[in-house]
Amino acid sequence: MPQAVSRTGWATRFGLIMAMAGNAVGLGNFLRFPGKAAPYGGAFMVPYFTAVILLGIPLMWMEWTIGRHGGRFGHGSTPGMFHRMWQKPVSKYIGIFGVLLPAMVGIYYIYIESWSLGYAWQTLTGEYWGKTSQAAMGEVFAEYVGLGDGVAFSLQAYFFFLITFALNILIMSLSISKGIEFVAKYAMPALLFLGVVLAVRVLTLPPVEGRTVGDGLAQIWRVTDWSVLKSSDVWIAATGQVFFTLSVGLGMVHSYASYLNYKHDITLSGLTSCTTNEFVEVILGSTVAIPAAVIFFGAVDTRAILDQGTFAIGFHALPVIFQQMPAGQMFGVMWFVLLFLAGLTSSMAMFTPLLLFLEDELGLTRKRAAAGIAICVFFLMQPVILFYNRGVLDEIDYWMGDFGLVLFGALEAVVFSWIFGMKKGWREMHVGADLRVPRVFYYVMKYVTPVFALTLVVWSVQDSLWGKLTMENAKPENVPFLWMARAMILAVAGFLIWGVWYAWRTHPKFFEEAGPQSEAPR
Amino acid sequence: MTLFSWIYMLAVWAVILTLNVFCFYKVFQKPKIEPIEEEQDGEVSFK
Repeated sequence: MPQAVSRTGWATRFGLIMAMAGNAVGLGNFLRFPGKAAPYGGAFMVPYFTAVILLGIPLMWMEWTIGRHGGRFGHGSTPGMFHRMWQKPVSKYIGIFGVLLPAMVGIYYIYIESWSLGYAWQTLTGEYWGKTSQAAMGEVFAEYVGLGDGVAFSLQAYFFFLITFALNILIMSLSISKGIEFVAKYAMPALLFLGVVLAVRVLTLPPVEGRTVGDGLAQIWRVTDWSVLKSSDVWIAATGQVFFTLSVGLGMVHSYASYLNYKHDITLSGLTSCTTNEFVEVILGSTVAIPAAVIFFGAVDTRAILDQGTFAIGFHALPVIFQQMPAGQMFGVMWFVLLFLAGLTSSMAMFTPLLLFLEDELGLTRKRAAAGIAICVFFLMQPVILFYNRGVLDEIDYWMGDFGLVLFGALEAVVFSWIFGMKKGWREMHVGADLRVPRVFYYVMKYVTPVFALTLVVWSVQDSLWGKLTMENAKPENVPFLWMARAMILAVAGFLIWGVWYAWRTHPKFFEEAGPQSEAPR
Repeated sequence: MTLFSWIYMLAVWAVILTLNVFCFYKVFQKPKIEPIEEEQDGEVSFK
């Protein structure tokens, strides 16, 4: 008989939904989304919501279904889950993406998350107080992350990185209900509270030199030119953002869903986590950073700040604004704690697929698996931190957090809808359902979602893949470091390929002969 | 912000909030994860 994998499951449905929503809600909701939307104005919302409805929500339902289905067979990660859907040798290797991508994203995401904690501390202690220009705050940021020609090292950044890293490993190593669920149940409501308070604060800001909050909201909501919809750029930006914000195509939703028992609803729970994410992203995310920046700096300067990159508005511009508003120190701390919580609720899921892969497929105990991950991830994080100024983080981000998740999302849509079969998938999805999904989504998931996702892959290839592959815009002195980043990805991928090969070879009965494990909670 | 922009923004917000509240309302009607039920003859039924 196969050896059963016994894990405790979710304790409450609220905890499950908060964890799933927290997985989706991240730094991108507050920093990336406004930056993507503002250049196109209100027209951006058309491709954005088209992608949410035709791509994001269907993929979310697919991932919950794949996860719960795989969990019945004792698989907590996508290699085993894909194997259960498609009995071909290649399927389990495709599933490796669902372990590789979140782990590699986690390697840099935790470092970025730690900046929020560091800035919350700096704001609380007033460390940068008095630096009231963006240029000065830019220098504070450069000093914090240790930007320069040599090794990028800053003792303070490293200290907060260690705290954030330890916290993530601690949460991950506990059982799902005592770790991730416990944190999500408190962190998500706290995040929502902080987000609403900050949004109300910005919406009630008095005009500065004639600039009102309406001018700020107009950057995201005013349609100045519908013809931008004819450009593929806005569609790539919007659909990429949908993938990123819902954390689909990463493998984390699958792992969380594998803890569900077979008759637990997934349609309503999946939709609830999606709508919660949209509330945070579209309502709160569009109301805080950009309107505040427009009121204090004006629309032209805000566009220039956005052009400087994802972090400029959050770490350069807003600290300047906090120094100029009443009780700004308090709101500043709230902003960075908000970002930290958004980051934490996402990052704590990122190593879960790897942890479950080591547990379920390679037979390691949770303690050993968690310790192994902690040691390996810690060492892999060092180049990301020390050579941040050389583009190591950006290189991993492109291949894993940008192109990789779109590719894996397309692959899983094809496997689910066309290979596993939509009829079977639809039936599986509705087992125990509390919400009957309208029949039109059957056809959306069967035809539109896979085609849409594949089109996005083709767009991404045309748009940026070749340039990235050949490093055509890279500075010559950074090229060795970019190769190092690729070597890191390949090393982890190589380990996972070996792991799958070894597991399937050494545990044939467990994988080939086991029927669905009972309804035992995982 | 033009009048159309305000209507556009508030309409989108209203749709998101309504859906979110509806979902949570349905969730809180059955908040606990149900105890495991036995399958009969390997069959599962649609709700």
